[in-house]
Amino acid sequence: MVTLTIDGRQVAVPEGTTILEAARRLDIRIPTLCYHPLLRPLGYCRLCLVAVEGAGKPVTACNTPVAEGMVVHTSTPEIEEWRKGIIEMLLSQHPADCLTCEKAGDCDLQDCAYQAGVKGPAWKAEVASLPVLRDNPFIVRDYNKCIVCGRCVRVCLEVQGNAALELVGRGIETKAGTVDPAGLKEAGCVFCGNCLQVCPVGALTERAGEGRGREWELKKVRSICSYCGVGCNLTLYVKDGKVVKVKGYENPEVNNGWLCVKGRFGFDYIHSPDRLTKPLIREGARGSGNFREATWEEALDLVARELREIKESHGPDVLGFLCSAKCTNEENYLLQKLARGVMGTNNVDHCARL
Amino acid sequence: MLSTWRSGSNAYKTSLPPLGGRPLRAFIGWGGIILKDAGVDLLAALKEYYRAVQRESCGRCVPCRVGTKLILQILEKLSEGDQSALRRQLKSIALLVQQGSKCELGQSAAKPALDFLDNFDRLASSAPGEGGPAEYKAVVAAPCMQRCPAHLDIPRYMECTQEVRFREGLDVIRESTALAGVLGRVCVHPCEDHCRRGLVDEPLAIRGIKRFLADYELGRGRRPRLDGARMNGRPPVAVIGAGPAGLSCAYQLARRGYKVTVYEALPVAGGMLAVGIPPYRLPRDILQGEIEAIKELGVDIQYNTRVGREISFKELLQSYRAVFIATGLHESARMGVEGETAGYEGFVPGVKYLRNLNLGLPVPRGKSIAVVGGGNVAMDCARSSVRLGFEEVYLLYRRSRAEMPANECEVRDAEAEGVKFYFQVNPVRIVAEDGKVKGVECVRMELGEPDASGRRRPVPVPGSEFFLSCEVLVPAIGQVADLSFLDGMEGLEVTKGGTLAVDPVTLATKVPGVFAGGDIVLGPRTVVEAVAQGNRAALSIDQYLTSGKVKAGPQDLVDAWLKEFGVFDAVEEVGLPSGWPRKEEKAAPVEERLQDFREVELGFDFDDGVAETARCLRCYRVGLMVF
Repeated sequence: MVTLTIDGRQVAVPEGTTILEAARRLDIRIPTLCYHPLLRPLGYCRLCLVAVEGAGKPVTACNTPVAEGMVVHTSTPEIEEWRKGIIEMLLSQHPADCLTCEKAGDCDLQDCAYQAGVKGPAWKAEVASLPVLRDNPFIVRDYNKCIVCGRCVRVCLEVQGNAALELVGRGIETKAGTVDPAGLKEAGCVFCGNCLQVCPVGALTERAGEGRGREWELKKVRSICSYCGVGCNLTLYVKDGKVVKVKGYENPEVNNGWLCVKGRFGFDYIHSPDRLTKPLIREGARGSGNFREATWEEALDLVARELREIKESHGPDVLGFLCSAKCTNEENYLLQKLARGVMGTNNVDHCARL
Repeated sequence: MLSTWRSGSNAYKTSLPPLGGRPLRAFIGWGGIILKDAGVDLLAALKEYYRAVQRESCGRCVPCRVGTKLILQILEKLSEGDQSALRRQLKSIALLVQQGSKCELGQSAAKPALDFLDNFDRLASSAPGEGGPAEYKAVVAAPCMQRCPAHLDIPRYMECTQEVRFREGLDVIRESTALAGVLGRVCVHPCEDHCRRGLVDEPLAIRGIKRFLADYELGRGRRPRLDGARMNGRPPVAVIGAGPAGLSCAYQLARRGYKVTVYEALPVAGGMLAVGIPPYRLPRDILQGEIEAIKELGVDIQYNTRVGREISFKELLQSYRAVFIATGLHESARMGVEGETAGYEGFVPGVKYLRNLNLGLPVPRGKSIAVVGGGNVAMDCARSSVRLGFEEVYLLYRRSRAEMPANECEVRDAEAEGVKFYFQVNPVRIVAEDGKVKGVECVRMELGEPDASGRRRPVPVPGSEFFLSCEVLVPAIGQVADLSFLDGMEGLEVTKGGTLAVDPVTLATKVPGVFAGGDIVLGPRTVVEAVAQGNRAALSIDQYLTSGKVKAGPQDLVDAWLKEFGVFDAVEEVGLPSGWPRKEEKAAPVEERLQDFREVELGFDFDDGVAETARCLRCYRVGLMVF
């Protein structure tokens, strides 16, 4: 264990702990922008600068490990002044369109500026305006708003293991981008959208949600993804009874907030007019296309009766049971139990094997 | 003359060396401003400086990315007149860039702007433009990179490792050397002596990271892959010797599209890497894997072809338009003691001992062995002997432990493995019976006045002779060249030290088209110096074959200038908190490693490798020369 003092309070933490983590144990909040608890800290944004006694220069709390006897001050007038300066610098090259930005209300830069009392940019950096990229159905990229926190690059590499993104350019022109300048698809993007999930500003936003509701108008509903048996936790963003966009819910037991392309972007089926919402029973000949709505009770009774009849007249092995990757392990287990134990056949298969 | 540039000792720096004979009117850089000519338009030069900083800024951190751009914008407005409000803004931005930037590039780049403001009255009163329009040259330097003989772009591959862009990191290394896995194991890493992190706590494990990247590639089941133009119509070049210098020259020439044939006297390539350095320090599959990758670029290695025996040097000169001599030093220096030339059984010079061992040829065996010398070859001999099963391994060295030229880690490992050191002891006579070594008569030494090398000269203590019993005696006190293959060659000069004389920059000999490098020029030195010379020779040969002339290039001039000006300040106050310890590579326990010649050092695992690079201060510094 390493003992250090932060803002006059002593704390003992394991070796290798960062100053930021040690401070959080004491409920001392140090502002951050590029830091993300699930990604490796790289110290890009410099907002978490803290003063260490005996050192001439401040250090970043997010990626500096504690040392025995270290005395840290997280908020001195000088440090606060620098944090303000950093935010002003960020704003000096950031579009002032918070009024209509999709991210307004959920933007880390807004929050940091608000907390530091920064009213607006003190200077304006001369930067070329970049086109807003809509080169795919899922993600809108507006790199004018990129603050180069590198979170999207890290999540693509560290979580998705894909490395489709990188930081491109030098100096003031540096932005997040794709390893192939042609676009996301060309760079090998799998459109998991986890970059979008971690983007602190409005640089990466959901295309489906564009213009469909402000952050504070959207009802957040926790749900579970229905695409497979993993059971990823979701937050549905709902307005007027319609799902506008989906984000991962950070449940460390399951998916930590990460999703795949289906769970994050494939939600249009929810409001599809073609979606079956009630059991249907066919009337008339097969292929005639005539169905009538039924209750679950009636439908299940019919299925049970028919199955029993088939088994009795032809034997159990004319029956086969196909289960689904969309079901949980437990549901799949029950289906094969039904096949083997109740119907008496070993004809069980699974869609993931086909 | 006006200088705001202070070194760590707080003295103002006033010397401004010329660049290749061309005097500088001013220099703006990481330490401030040195103004020699008051006629320089300093504001214009400062703007040029910050444009260069913007070009170099990696854009990761806010103060450097945005701040240095804002400094540039304010400087542009300042040209329109003296506006004190703008100067106040400039100061607050520059301070934030200095204090808040992620790496030394931004931190140091704020200094000229701050110095300009602090000395505004004096500097603004200079008469701009009097000396005529200025010419600028921006330079980028880092202490580690400048100290590395091969100038590897160390901060860049540290950053690539930190950001888990390993492939790119390897590509950065391979710009300068094809031997990432080799140097990652056996380099003496002079770069780490000039690592600024070392001024705070401990230097970065730069060598270990190089190995980490090379190992990562192999660990993924990939073979080393080198990029470069495949063989094309460019003229054939001969390289004599497939050691690190020869291989590096061949690699860099092959990348430029030359057809290179390497003539190697031994049945294996690698030179001292293959027959000097033992496998427990450099596993042979690592070495041969990297050599294979060089061969895949179209380099042809003719094994068992000793120039002077299988083919004459003159024939090479007739068949090739350029020749690079990198034959190394494969003979041992004599101790000059009685019995050395008697051909006793059990007496074998160190270089031959290691060569035979590595080629699978017989070496004398027994229970006890004495190795004479304090360098890395002596350590290799002693530590190999422990592995061969000698029960007693003595190491005799005429000075004390502190003066040993061998790497500290080698000495430490030798001690851990049971080598018994006799310090301040020198052999005087080999004692033999029936033509077999029985022992060695030694004399104790004491340290006298310092000699030319600065080390205190050992002198024998009269009457202190004693007898040390051993069955095998291995002198490893130095290496010399065998230059007999050059017999009858006119024009090639040999130095007093028995090495080849060349132009120190271009490595050209007095014979047009003939170049030389590596140990044959430098004397017994390091792998990385051999690599550097191989690289440089390739540049000269390319120059020679395209223009017919060979001269120092722009980068040579800048490197020489930076060396004279100084990029590393050993007494600098870095100002960071210490106590972030260096990660150490894992090593096999002594009892395991002595079973055979298995590798001792095991490298970094993923977490340690990536974590170590977070300690890098990324000490890039931008400078602007004003002519």
